[in-house]
Amino acid sequence: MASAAPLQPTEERVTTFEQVNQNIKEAAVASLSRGAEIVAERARQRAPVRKIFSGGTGRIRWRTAAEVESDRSIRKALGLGPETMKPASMKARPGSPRAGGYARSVVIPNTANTGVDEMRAINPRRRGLNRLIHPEAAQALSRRGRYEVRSRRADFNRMVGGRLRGEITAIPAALRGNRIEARVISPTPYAKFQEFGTRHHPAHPFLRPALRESRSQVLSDLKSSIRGAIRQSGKIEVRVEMNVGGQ
Amino acid sequence: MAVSTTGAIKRALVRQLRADAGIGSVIAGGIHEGVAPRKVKYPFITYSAVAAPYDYDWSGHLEIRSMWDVYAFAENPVEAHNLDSLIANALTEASLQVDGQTVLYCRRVAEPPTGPDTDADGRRIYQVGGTYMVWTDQAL
Repeated sequence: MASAAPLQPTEERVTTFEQVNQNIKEAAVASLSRGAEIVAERARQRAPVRKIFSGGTGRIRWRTAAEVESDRSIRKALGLGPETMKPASMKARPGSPRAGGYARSVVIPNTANTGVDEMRAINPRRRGLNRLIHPEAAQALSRRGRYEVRSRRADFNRMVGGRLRGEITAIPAALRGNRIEARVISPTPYAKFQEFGTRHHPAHPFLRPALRESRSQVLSDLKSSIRGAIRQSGKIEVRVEMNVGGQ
Repeated sequence: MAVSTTGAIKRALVRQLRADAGIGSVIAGGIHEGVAPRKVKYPFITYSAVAAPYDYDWSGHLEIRSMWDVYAFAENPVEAHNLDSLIANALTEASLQVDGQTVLYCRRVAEPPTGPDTDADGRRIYQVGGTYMVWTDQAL
């Protein structure tokens, strides 16, 4: 019988193929879980949110008397005339910002449609048209938006709109047979209508573009994770045994 | 050098669909981007871009891997499926003429799950289609 001489113990860490294989699988699972989170986050950024506020970049509101007073000296220094007064036809309730008597308009940035969540917050204690907490957001509601708020159609976690975006979930990767699967799901019932479009409205895809755009990032992370797992595994112990003559 | 964008790919796709005699003889409502107007006759085709990420490489080339949804809408499922087959035949491995780009391939890569729907006039309509990947390359 001729067999390999027993390996001498060394100071370097020695692992088997099975251990390396296991390390690679664990690294790949962790990497794909991170990848699923990346895809989900990108899908959330792309998911359409109900446009319940007036279109354009903003909406005109009345300046308060305090705002006008604060600008008075500056206007005088610049040689500008006094602020125009509020037209007599405009009625203002006592205590409202308009009650000061000045009628200069400024633009409220329409940030609500561009992802600033505090503008979409619903006041749970108020019923009726203006149930949004932020007063400027309540003023900026479009006709459709007032209906959405009043009917609570778009109420999701005390916010107007954002259900599609809020429900996108990344399921961590898991080993299924020889495959490692991670999933990003959008369980909202109307998600497929937004993703694929219908007879009545065009598609606003958000899941598939997120996947395509994250592909290189996810693959790169996966490669480096596997490379790191192999490097950390140390030297591989290879045992070769030969049997000669059936002995 | 000017970059050729997905607009050129879109034009090539529509040109390819319009050039197909079989499709032209079937569609009564034409080809529309995104969504067709309400009064359009059935059957008709819609197309829309899904994603078109740009991929630059170190050799000075730009690859656009664009995905397109192309749907056939018809009043009965057989007609919709037949039209979808014609579209698939016209686009799969088609030699698209994309201005400023070389087409590496054009393939059907998925079939989105869509069911019957009801249109604004109460008619039951069927939406059948596929997702096509058009992979192009251009020198910068």
